[in-house]
Amino acid sequence: MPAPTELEKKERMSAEKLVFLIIAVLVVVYIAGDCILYSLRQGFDGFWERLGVGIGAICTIGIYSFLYRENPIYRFLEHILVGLSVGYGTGVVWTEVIQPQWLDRMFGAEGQPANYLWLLVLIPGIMWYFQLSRRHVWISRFVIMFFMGTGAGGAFRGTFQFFFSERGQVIQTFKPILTESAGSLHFTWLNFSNLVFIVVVLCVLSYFFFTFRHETNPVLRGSSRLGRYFLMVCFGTIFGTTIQGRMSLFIDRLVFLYHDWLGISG
Amino acid sequence: MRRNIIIILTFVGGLYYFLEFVLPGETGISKLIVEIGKVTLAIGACAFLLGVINLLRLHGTRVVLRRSGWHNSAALIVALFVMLIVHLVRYYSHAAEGDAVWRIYNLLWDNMRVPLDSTIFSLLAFYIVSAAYRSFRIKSGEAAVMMAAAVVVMLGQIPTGQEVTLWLKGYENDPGLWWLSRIRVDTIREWLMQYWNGAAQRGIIFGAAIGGLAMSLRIWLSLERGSFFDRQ
Amino acid sequence: MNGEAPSRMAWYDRLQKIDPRIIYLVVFVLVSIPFFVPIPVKMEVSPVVKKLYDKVEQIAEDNKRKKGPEKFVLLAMDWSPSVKAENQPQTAAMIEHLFRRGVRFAIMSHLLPEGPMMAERIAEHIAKKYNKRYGVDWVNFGFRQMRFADYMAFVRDMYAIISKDYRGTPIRDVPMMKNIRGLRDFALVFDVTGSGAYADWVYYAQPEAHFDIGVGVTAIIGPSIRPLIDAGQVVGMMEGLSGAAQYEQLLNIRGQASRGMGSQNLAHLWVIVALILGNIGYIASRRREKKLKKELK
Repeated sequence: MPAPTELEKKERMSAEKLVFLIIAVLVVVYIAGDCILYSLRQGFDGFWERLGVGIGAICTIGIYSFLYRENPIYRFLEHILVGLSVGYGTGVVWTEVIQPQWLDRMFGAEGQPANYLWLLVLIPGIMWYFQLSRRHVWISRFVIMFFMGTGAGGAFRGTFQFFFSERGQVIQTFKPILTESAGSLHFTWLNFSNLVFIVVVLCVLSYFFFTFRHETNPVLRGSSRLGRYFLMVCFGTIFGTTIQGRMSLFIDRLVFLYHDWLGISG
Repeated sequence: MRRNIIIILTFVGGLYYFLEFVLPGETGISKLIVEIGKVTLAIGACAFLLGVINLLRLHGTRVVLRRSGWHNSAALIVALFVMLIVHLVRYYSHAAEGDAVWRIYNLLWDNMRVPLDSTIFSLLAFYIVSAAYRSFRIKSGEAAVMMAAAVVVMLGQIPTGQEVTLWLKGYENDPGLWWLSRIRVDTIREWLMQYWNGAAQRGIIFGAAIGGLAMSLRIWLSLERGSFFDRQ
Repeated sequence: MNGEAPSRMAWYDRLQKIDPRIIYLVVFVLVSIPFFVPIPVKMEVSPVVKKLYDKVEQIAEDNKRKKGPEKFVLLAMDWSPSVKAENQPQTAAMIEHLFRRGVRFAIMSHLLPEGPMMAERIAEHIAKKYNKRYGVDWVNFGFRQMRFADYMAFVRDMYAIISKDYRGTPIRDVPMMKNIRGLRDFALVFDVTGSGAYADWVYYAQPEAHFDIGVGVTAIIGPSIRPLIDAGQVVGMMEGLSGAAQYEQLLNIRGQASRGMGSQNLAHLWVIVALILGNIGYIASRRREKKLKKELK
């Protein structure tokens, strides 16, 4: 099939623009009509609510236009999202953390006495911002590395508690592969499953065991090959659940469009 | 000199939590944990403006110099400040539901932020189907195993898939044919997820945890190399 | 058109190169159908969902029989609008269960500021059905950004980190808090998240405070929770939309999750069909290549 000529490309682009324009006009006219209808029924509250839903619909459809082709509307909405997210995050940190956990303690609030020692927090607090200066970036490393140190120190606790506590991962890997009942040993379905579990864990661990060469050790070679297959099962299950996860996101958006905006589904 | 101070700060930062974990409670070292936690919370929160400043530098420059896409950058900055100001006004004025500032806040949050965020992520639904169709090919035994596992999991998590083998549930209590109830799609799915996937994930966690512990030790003892750790 | 014969792709190549926009369109149509043609769904409840349900029932029964001091549930809402599709129905199902059984709960997040706000909306909505009141039947601590160090302080002394509730009321003035001395009064922490937020609860909080942990996670993370369930570190899980739908089934309600499963059904079947089509084309083209190579030899 011959490649489209410049004229064909231009015609196609103007046809696309026309379609985009028609869809945009239809959406705006629908929203305007919806707002007017609800303002007649429920006054300003109705108008405001439907305006909000209409704006949500514009945002949704604008983002979905990316599926056809990247376009200026999508880019614009993407930037708005980033702005709203950062603005919200900043505001929340101020009102939920800085105000109650620092300023209220420093200046005293609601029965708490003032404690101006909290002013000293400003010194390490300001150090964070030296990351923005090329010449004095070394000052920010004091506070960054202190926090990295606390995280590293905490990692010991986290790791040992996660693996070796009563409900730890290591201890719980040792599962019974025989069941005792009425004085004799039985091999039940549960024991079989436990055996599968232990074998899979060992094979997967051997796959990541790089201290010895797999080629020269037949046991390690065999178990690591099995480990690869078991990892494929694992990745397959992750893929299967990922499909569900992604579809849920789209279903939620359709609920909004069909039910909340257009009101055409139950 | 600077590097030594950084090494000392890193070590001290981690030392307290390490000692707090390994030493018994009678030493009294645990008593400080709450106070230290309060202080570190406040210090950590002070960094909240870093992201804002970086964004303003990047997008502000674009607006001022009228570079390509400057109107998008302007929209970002306007959205940022509008959201921030409305949030702060709502908080400090103790606005009640129905007030003007509350309405504007809900408009920005419920009708812009939530739809935009959710919709951008929902694009992945299309891309994963398209990517699965185009690239998931049975080129080897491993790929075949992966696909078989994926199909079983997918069928086992939807009503139609479960329905196909639901009739086998009746054999659960049959002394001879109990095993038939184990080959239901949803049962196989659950078994694969718990015993095969769970075990493989545990193996991965072990490896990752050992690596993480080694990395933590290197950071704590400042043995690590990189832009934060070396001399300028 | 210009006198040239159009080149034709073999059927197996066409099968591998369907235009992505057709794939998107089929996804859109199939997911939309159940909105207009309701498909009744009944799901088999998975053991991990049942365990979570049973845990809440056990807490409710113990509280009812006054087996020791009253126990509460902490809802850790570490989710944002991007994962609302799965985490919101999970939150709603759990709050419905807690209200129905009269188990009092607290909402908070240490990772994401949006979660407590969205959970509060859900709680307020469902509270009307059960005549529940804020401050008496539930409380919202809001967002408390915590790194490891602050997290340890929170685990040891909750009131050191939580001084006010979500509405700005001093926490000691909230009626429900009179019965809560610390994290140990919570029998269950139900963490709803689209990321790894549950790890902090499992790593640092559970070994100290000895509560049980349940999770409501996006389906993508579900597989990575399985080792924790196996070890008993996590008592039960709602995995994605299907997990929430199963929980709603146990509660005998047809909520958002149950309504979405019809669409999930068709979408999954389309993915399987697409995989099969692509691989049929691939296998056929490989066979053709091998045959051509043989003929050339």
